[in-house]
Amino acid sequence: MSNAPRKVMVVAVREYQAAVRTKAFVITIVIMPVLMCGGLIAKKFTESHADVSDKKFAIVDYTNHLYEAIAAAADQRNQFAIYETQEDDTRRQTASRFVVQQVEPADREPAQVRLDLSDRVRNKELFGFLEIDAEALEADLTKPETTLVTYHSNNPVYDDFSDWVIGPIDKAIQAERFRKENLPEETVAWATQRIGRLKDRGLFSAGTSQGDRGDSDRAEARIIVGVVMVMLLFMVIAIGATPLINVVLEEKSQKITEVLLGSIRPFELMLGKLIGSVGVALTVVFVYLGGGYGVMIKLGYADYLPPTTLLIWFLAFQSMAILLFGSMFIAIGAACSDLKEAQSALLPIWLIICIPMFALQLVIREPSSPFVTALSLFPVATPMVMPLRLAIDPTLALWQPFLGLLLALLTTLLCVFAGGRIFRIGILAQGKAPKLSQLLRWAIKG
Amino acid sequence: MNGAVEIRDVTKTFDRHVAVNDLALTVPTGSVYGFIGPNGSGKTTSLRMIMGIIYPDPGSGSMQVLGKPVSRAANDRVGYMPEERGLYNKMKVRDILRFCAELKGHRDCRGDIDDWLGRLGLGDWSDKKVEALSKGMTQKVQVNAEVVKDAILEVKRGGTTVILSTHDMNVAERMCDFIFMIFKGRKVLDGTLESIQDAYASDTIRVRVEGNGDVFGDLPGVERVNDFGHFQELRTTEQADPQAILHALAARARIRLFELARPSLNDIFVRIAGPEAQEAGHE
Repeated sequence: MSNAPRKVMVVAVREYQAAVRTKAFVITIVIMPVLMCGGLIAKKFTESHADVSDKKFAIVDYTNHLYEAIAAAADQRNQFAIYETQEDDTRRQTASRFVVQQVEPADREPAQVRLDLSDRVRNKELFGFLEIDAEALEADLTKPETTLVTYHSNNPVYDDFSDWVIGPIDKAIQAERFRKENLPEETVAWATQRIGRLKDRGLFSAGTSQGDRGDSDRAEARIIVGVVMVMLLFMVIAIGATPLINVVLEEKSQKITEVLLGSIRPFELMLGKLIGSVGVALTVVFVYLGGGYGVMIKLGYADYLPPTTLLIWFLAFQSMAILLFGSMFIAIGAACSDLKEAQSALLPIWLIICIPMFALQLVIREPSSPFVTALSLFPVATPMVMPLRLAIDPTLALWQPFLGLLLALLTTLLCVFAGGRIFRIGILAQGKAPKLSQLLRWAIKG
Repeated sequence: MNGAVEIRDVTKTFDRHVAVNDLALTVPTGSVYGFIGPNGSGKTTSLRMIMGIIYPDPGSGSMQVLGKPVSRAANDRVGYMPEERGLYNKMKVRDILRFCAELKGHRDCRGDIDDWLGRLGLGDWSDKKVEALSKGMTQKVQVNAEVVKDAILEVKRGGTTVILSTHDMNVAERMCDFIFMIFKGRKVLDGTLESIQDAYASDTIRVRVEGNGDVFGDLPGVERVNDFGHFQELRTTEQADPQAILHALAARARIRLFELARPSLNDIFVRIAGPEAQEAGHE
């Protein structure tokens, strides 16, 4: 038995070298961040290539008092609100102009008017149309079921106009109501003034008369660090743990496993693979972190670098994630006969891995809410959520990451143990992939 | 118990399928022992149990390898080579040999690797990746095909026990000192090739006579005649006397050939296992 640890390390070293000493690894290291940032790039690209052609809307104003105000607001918007000032002080249009036109019902029935306008929308003469009920000036607008103002189009996704137009309508109705009460226009303007946007001006410290944005900037930096860590962990799983499936499938199909099992226990073989993968993952992390640190120091953002304790937590959780998910990947690779089978079986595991990604925004907004706290203690989500919480909230009670680490560790041990049993049986099995019930039986009974 | 491998009454069951049934076997130290039988007969299961990769059914018997109970997978004194493949395509020949040697507990094995590569004529290929090798060279790296014969004889000269598992009975006949035949999980033959052939030789007489085949009718002690064109095989009863058959046949025709035949392993297997073995043996 004294040879066992050494054999595990022999396998780990081979796995590490087999993964790292390849062109594919280097290419993946370069491409992965590009892919992960693809969303941001795509967003930027689509923004700069947004459709800014005019969008025509018909307005049927049965009150006969609101259209003018809406048209004036649209003009105002079209002149100023749809442009972005570039660095060279030139203006670039970023949204469509809203071209509104009033439609007089004349002697047509409202139903006929709606039908005509709908046809014009279908014929692409109009983008949509708005109908304002004659009672809009008098009725109680606070009633939730009110349909005094309705918008109609055949593009349910585009809501820029409907979101925007409600503001001018509200304002116009208010103005009309004030006018009806004989309140002067100046008084109306004064009474309906709005504060506008609030800006975070930071916190005060003893001896300072103005708020300091530094805290806020640092909080923002912590969020960015946290999100980067989650992305990094995701990449590490993709680069470090996913290839385990291919390796195991190759060993199984090429009968390499039979040779190896003549020298090493199945569990030791699996452990060696997992340790090798942790090594690969650490290499990836050090490459990215090293690069990130270098860039931040070079750009003068050294103050925003994450503290060492956070990095230690991150490394601990990422190693745990590799062991946890790697053991699942190995078990699946051993139980399946080809990549197609394995990919189907992997789907639920990838869904589990992605849960924290779906909850990313929630964690950022409310890092200490009961739901997020519970999620961060859910072992399969802990490796991603807990470092993010630690990054965002430096005052997080230490018992939480320790408890998360303990629960994740216990789950990891359970998964490695169960994975080892599935691996031992599955790696020599041939033929059809086992069902979930059979996998569970292998894991429980061995 | 003093064989390299001692197996006593071992059974292995997968779900309800009995892969190896009540197996007893002794592999003498320093011998080349052939495990033969058609695909699915239980050879690989037996070998995997010997290697400790899988375990016999609980309480079904005992197994010892090199004097120690088989209770662990890793046995550094036992090597295992599958029939085909078994190599990482992306690894260099030398690296894969070093990896396997290190798994067996050898630390400084560079000299040994070079020595063996030279002996097998693979010195020039040591830094090539397995995937870059031709099929023939890959087989050489696997110490397979023709090379396996030399390699086995070489390790045998060093006193190493070799268990050779194959469904090719001709290979077993040419290379093995002992033959163990398994069929449907049960041992059906075990012994030296000579002893096995002797045991089955007395019931077959190969003859060639002048004239047509009518002379074989009602020969005393002959239960069946197989006509192979230029010779015939007479299958005799247990009590038949070859001398009496010779006399009877000489009285009917001029004899060109009369010999007590030594059946091939395949013939013996077919005889033991019945008609279905004919098909199984050619899988």
